[in-house]
Formats: sequence, structure tokens, C-alpha cells
Amino acid sequence: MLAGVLLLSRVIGAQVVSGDGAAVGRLTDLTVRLDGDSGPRLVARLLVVRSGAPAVLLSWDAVHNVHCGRPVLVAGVLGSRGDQLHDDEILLGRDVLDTQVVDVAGQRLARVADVVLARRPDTRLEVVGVEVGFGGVLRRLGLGRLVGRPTEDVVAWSDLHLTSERGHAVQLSAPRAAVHRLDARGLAALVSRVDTESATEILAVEEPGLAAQAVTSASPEVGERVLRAMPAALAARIVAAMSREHAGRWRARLARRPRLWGRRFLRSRVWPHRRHLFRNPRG
Amino acid sequence: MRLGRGGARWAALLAVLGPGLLAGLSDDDPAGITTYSVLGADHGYQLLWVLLLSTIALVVFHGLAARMGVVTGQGLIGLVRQRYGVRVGGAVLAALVVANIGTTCAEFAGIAAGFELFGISRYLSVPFAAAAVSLLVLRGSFHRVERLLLLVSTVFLAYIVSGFLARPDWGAALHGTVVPTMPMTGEAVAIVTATLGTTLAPWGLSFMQSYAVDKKLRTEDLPLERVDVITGAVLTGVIGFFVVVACAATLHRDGLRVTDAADAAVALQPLAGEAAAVLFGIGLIGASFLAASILPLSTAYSVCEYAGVEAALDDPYAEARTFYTTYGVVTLVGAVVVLTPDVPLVTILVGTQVLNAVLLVPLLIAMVGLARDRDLMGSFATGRAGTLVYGLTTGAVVVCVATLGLTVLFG
Repeated sequence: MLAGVLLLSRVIGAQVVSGDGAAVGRLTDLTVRLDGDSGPRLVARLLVVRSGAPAVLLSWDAVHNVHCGRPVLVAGVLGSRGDQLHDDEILLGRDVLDTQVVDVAGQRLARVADVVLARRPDTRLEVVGVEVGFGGVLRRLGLGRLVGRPTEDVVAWSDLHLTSERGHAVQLSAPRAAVHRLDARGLAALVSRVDTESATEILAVEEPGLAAQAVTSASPEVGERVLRAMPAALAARIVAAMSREHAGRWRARLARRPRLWGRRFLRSRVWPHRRHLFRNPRG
Repeated sequence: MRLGRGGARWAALLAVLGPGLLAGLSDDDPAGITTYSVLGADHGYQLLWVLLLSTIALVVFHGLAARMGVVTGQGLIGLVRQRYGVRVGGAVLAALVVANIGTTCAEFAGIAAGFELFGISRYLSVPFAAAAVSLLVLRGSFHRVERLLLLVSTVFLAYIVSGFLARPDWGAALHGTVVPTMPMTGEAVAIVTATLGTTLAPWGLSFMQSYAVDKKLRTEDLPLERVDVITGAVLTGVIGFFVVVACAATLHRDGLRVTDAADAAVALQPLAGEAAAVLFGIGLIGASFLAASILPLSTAYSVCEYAGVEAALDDPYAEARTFYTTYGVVTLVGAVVVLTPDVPLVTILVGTQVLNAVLLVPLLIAMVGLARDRDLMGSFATGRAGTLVYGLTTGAVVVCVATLGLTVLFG
């Protein structure tokens, strides 16, 4: 199905030529739409910089073929150019390349070393994943001879979602089931790491007995922060599932005015998440 | 325990305090104390106004670093890679790592010199200090590490007491602080630029931003974090002020010159008394210890930011190997270099200062560019007025670095 693999870092900077071989400009970025479709994620437009003229966004439909990494355009396409990104459109170079990859628990894993593209027989480019190994970094630094094959550490695009409007971090999605398989200690470690909102969501869907064990296993500051952020009825249900001794202590703790010193801060969550856009787009 | 509204506000401030205080105070490291000592010994109270300028520069850029860390959740080197690409990020990281290792050597040299004032060999003090800072970071949680480092920072009070014991001319000190005058000599230009350069350092900026991320501060905490940054910067300036004052009131009055901070402590003894000299030496050890903890930490944060791997003091070694390994390697290299006989330490320290100065300029320009990026900073992006302030401060630093370069090249 796929004719060949291209790496974004090798495509960026390539000369864009017209059908008669004349130089049009340099390719500086590629865009994709985050429209929630479940099909393959295809490159939508090219950002082309021309000397002495403003940069233009050209639809991929204008590409006749890609020859040696150089997009060759059909004639007369510059008349149908655009200069604005759509609301759901991102630039792969600007918004994905070199951004932070974090796992479902917010743990930092790597940065995006490259974006892996696949050439389809119909000349369209499909975004298939991101390379995260340090080999990609060395290759881009011109030290490619030190590394082996270029795409050893690739995460499939379908396993990723961007965590903010402009891709400040790329987060690995994980099935909810993975969280359900955690024992009380694992759950305690997870709620200690994630931001308060996510922690309350995780505990809210757990069985109250397991949630209660997770709260008592976590540090008192974390437990208090999460329980206070929950609806009172849910927090009361979790506390009621604790042993009598623990329950009494936690009720007394929650009845007190919040102690501000020693509190734990959110891990890093200042931008709105947009999980829905990249969550398992292929179903 | 019940807290009133005022008490709650204080408690919230106490919870946020840390990044600004530690990043600011660690700038008063042995190189800083030496610069202030020479400033006071050679020029008396006349150039105290420079400390006012460096404090303002510290407030401006440490505040910006904290804001960028809180808003993006990323450290400075990570953002540089994300915004300017893997090559620029790699070049900045390489320069920063080399400069940080050199500066760590300076901090361990400060520890060695400080303990030698009290007759303790460097072959005991330096390994002890290296082991202590490594254990502190490896074994401690974020909050424990922060509390211990803040506790170490209280040793800077020694400089304030030392300044009072020197019985300075307070009127002349105030005049020198608020009325800028400048002897037009190469030496004076060099010491003014060195004072600015020693206060605002690349490692301090990268530490400030990464530490704010590690502390998991939120945008709601930014107003209180600004208080933390201003407090740290002002305390840094105040400590520098008292070091200059102590040396101006004694060494300058008697026409004595010094070459480093340990030298100043010895020279103070007959002029300001045993207590002032002892306090000066204790201050030097504490300052060196604090900076020797922060420098490897700043390097480890930066390496992890570039690679994108976890860098949190709360994480165990198994989950943050790159972070702790980098910390250990930088500490070890710094300590070993200082203990190795016949190593050209002075050449290393001078080279490090030059590298820090050269690196500072592109780093400040990159920070201004990042701060203006709306895609990155959203509603917290810097507007025109902010850009003007950052631009003017950067311009002042560029002029100082260029002047320092010319002074070094042409005497």
C-alpha cells in the first residue's frame, strides 16, 4: 500500500518546482488537519517560502508528484494559494517536530526527533508516526553515520494526541483499561504524578474500595488535594470505604480548613487538553 | 490550625517561595563574592550603583524565566530546541554544559579556599562537599532538597553581619548606590561589566525556569512567584552590597588590594576584627556549597530538557537516570579538577567566565523571542512594553559583554 517512507526533516528545505522545472520556492513546513476523521492522517497543505514574496500555503492537490524529496507542482497553482491556517490545522515542523512526548501519566519520555511520512500511490503523503529515539537527533545534527536505521523508535500517529492547541506536548494515549489494571500502590503513584483534574477522574471511575486504598497509600497531601477536588458525595463514598481508623482520620482532615503549606502543585497543565482529536482516530 | 485571610496568603507565599530565592542567591557564588570584594577594595563605595542595575536585570530575566517555565511546562533548553531547532538547541546545550562544568570547578575551588581559611585541607573538604551535595539530591525529595538549600542560604546573613562589623560610612554607601559615577579606566570598566556578568548567568536562567517546572507551579501562582523572584534578586543585591561595603570600609580605606574572596577574608581580620573575617569565610563556604549544588542541578535539568526525558527531584533514579547521571558526572568532574595538582585552574575559570558572558547574549535574545511567541505563551506572551523592557536590559548586557571583550582583548 505504502510506496515509501520520508522523514519530515529531510523534506523541509527541499526546493519546490513547477511542472516545467522552474523553481517556485522552498518547502518550509507541511500541515495536517485535526478534523477527527478516523481515516489516515494526510498532509493537507505545503508552506512554501519564495524569495522576495510572502510565504504561501498550497494545497497538496497542487502537487503533481514528489521527485527525490522535491515536490513538483502542477501548473498555475499559485493563483489558488492561501495564507491562513484553519482552526484545526497544525504545522508539522512548527507544532510537532522537537515537541515534548509525555506518557499518559505525564511522565516525560523524549522529544519528537522526526515526523515519519509515507508516500502513497496517489502522490498523497500520510503521517504515520513520530520518531523519538536519539538517533534521529544525531542524524539531524549531521552525525547520521553514528546511527543505524533511521526509524527504529517510531510511535504510531494513532497512539498520540496533542495536549494543546499548538502541540506543546505530544502525549501517548493509553487505553483506560491500563489504568484499571493498576493495584492500589500503582494507582497511588499515578494520582501523585498527574494533575488534580486527571487524578479525580481516575479515582472517580474506580471501585470505591480500591480508590480508598490508593488515597491511603499516597502521601497525605496528595490524598487531601484529590479528595477536596472531588464532589463531596464521591469523596465521602471513598472515605466510607476505608477502615474505620483511616476513615475517622480522613474525615477530621477534610473537615479542617485546607493547609496551604506543603501542598503539591499541579505537574504542568496550563493549556487546554484536546484529547478527543487524536484519540484512536482509526477506531 | 485555623488560618485567617492574611495567614493563608502568607502560607501560599511560603509554598511558592524557592525558585527565585535559590536562583538569585546562588548567583552570589565565589566568583560573585570575589568580584564584589574587588569592587569594594579597589573603588570603595563609588561603584555600588552597579549592584542596583544588576538587581534590576536579575528581576527582569529571572521573572521571565519563571513565567516561561510555568506557562509552557518546559525548561529553557527544551524550548530553545522546540522553537529554534535541534542544531541551535544542541549548540547552546554544549556551550552551557562546558561553561557549567567550568563554573562547578570554581564553586569547588571556593569550598577548598573557604575551608583552608580554617586550616582544613582541600583533600578533605572537597570530597566531603561533593558527596554531601550528591547525597542531598539523590536521597532527598523535592521539598526536602529545597528546604535544605534554603537553610544553607541563611549563611549569607554572615556577610550582612560582617558588613556591619566593618563600621562603614553609611552616607557614602547610600550616595554610591543611588548616584552613578564612573572612573574612566580600563580596570573600572572591567569590574563593572564583571559585576553585571557574574549576577546574570546562563546557568541561573536555565535553573530558574526548570526549577519552576519541577516545583509544578501554576499560572495562578505567578503573582506570588514574582514576589519570590523579587525577594531573591533584592537579597542577592543586598548581600553584594554588604560585601562591597565591608571591603570598602576596611581594605579600600587602607589601600589594600585583594585577588579573591578568601584573600579578602584574611585581609579583613586585622581591620574589622576576628569575627568579621570568620563570618566572611563562613559565608564563602556556604555560598560555594549552595552554588555547587545548583550548578550540577541546572546542567542536569538542561540535558534532560534537550533530550525530553524526565527531570524531577521527586523521581527515583530508575525513572530519571539521565538526570541523576548528569548531576553525578558534573559534580565529580568539578571536584576532581580542583583536587588534581598542576591543573591550570585560573585558565579554566577565566575561560568559563568568557564562555558564560558569550553564551548569555544569544540566550537572552532567544528568551525574548520565546516570550513574544503567542503560539507558545498564549495570553502570557510579552507585549510591546514588555519587549521594550527586555530589549533595553538585553542591550545593556550586550554593551557590557562587548566592553568586557574589548577590555580583555586590548587591555
